[in-house]
Amino acid sequence: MALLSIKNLKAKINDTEILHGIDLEINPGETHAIMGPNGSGKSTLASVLAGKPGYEVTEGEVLFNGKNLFEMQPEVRAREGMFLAFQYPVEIPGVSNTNLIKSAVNEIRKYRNLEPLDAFDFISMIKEKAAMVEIEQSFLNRSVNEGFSGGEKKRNEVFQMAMLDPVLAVLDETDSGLDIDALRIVANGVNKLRRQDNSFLVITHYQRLLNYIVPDYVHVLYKGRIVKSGGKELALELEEKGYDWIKD
Amino acid sequence: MTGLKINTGVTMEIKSKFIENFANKFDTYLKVSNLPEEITQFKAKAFERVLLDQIPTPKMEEWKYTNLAFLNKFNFDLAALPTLDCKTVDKFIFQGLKANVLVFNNGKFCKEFSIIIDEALEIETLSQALSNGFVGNNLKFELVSDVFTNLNAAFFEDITFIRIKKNAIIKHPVHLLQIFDGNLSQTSIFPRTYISVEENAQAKFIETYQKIGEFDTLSASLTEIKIAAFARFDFVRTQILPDNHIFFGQTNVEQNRNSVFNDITFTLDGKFIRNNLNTKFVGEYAETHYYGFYFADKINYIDNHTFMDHAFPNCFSNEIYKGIVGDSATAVFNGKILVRPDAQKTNAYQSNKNILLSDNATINAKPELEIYADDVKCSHGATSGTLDEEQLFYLRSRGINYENARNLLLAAFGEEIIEKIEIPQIQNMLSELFESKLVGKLQ
Repeated sequence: MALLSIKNLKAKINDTEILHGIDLEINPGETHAIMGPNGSGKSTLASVLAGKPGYEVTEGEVLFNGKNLFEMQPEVRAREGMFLAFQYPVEIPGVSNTNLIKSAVNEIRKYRNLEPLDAFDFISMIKEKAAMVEIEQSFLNRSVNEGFSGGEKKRNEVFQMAMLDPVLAVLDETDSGLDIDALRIVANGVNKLRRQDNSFLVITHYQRLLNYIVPDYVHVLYKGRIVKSGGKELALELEEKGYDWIKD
Repeated sequence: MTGLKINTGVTMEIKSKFIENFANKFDTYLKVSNLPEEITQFKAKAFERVLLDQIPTPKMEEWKYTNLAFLNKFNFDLAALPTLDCKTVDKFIFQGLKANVLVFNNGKFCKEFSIIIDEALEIETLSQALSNGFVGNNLKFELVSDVFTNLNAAFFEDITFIRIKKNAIIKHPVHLLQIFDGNLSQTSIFPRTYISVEENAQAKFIETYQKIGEFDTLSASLTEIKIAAFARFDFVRTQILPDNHIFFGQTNVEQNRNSVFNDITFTLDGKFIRNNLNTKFVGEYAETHYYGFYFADKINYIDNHTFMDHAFPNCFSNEIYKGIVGDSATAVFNGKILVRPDAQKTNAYQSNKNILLSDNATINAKPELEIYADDVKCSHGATSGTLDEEQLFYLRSRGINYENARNLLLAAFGEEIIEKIEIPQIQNMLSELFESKLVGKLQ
């Protein structure tokens, strides 16, 4: 059974249809990349999957783990194992990273009928995952994303991802605004999380990220539809020829 | 209604049952109270003023958001004999905090229940102060505009004088525990406290309020604080009052040169609360911080009026009030800053932020700046809105349910004020009380 099965998905925001019928299947262990020019609907797809308010699904269905995704609140999607790495992570003054991640880990564990992590296990888990994305301990006591640089914000997304250990991670332009060093750290973090039983949907405008996170499949999204699919070599072709080639 | 002849010979018409009730009691009260002539005169003048003013209506600028007609349904007695015992007092004392505890029962200082561990803290009641001539110098009658303060002047049973001597540093916090006793009948309570922080002295006070008994009670208090040159005074007030208490509190602060005053007014519950907090600078280079937090829900009414009187140059004031208003509650923030013509080089800042949790919740926010000097830095801002949707979604996308995400954001909103409290035990206690309020478990 596919982990994520999207069939004829149409969605609109403010009465404007953005997604005109998307079909996509992701199996456990696969990494898919979605590429496309600005305004093609890449971020809308990520937002619809995570359940961001303001988007209206008008047609089609999405099954996640065989369950109807659109019957789940955003928090239930997360507890079922979906994770969205935000393109623009939100600043939350007054809520510390530790507080956020502790609440999240324990709510997800509760959903899965697991005991809350004790303080010792929680701290050692935090240390291990923070080291993976080269985050310092002091960073964890700061308010969520407040005053973080672009690179810090994206590393924080990958840190949270590592803590929550999702079965499907959606990375929404995680490479945007990153310099090459930060990109390498973020990509290495993601690669360490890749296993046979989890999947990634990497959304990006540029091929560069895919040098580091090598996908099994590449899809091209254009004007709300997937117009072309292929292997990782499709990304290189797009890099070389640009998106105009697809538009014809 | 009735015409009443009071001892000044003037006949006045009394328009409200609330005032009429007190008018019926006043003459007898004065006769049996057995106070010296100067105090009796003072009270008579104060009550004359009460009769002139009557209860305020929303037509008056200072009360434009308040309908006080509900006061007329009560028939308050003057504070009767206390029913207080040690066990009751013990329940209200902070566990694990070494502090001076001054217990007040219906506004009267109760030495037998109080604990004083810092010797530099001097406390006198009215009779003690009268015998050493202190009162004559300090009880100057001033016509104030607030009718509840004048009602306090007319009916206070006692005055507590607290003195922190020159250069003294009070090591342990001073807990003012105000107990409102409604065990016997509907009772009106008029606490009156004068705090004098002398030159270069320092102290941290926290005032809490506890209601006992089933009958409705009303308190109208006056706290006068004089902070002398180079002195520092911290004042935390935590208000968690049940539905059967009506609270009017007037706090007047006078700050001399180079003094520092920090006030934190923390209101978690109360059906009707009106706080008036005024600071007047009487010397240069003084510094004041007002921090306020209020959480109004149910049909509660919580009103904070502040007034910062920059009467001297080179002073600094900063004011941050934050509020959460839910259900059908109403909150008022009215912050006035007056910079007088001579008060050059004034720095005065004010901010008021509100989060509304329901469509029926009301916030009335009114900053008032009157600036008559030209070389000053002043700013103010007031905001009200709902919780940030982007922040809520971010938290929910991490698996945190709506309720908990909301509470995390509200807790963060309130913590900014709670963390200003410099007594760690009090800070933790208020954090816990606030969090229990958020999950609906505040006792």
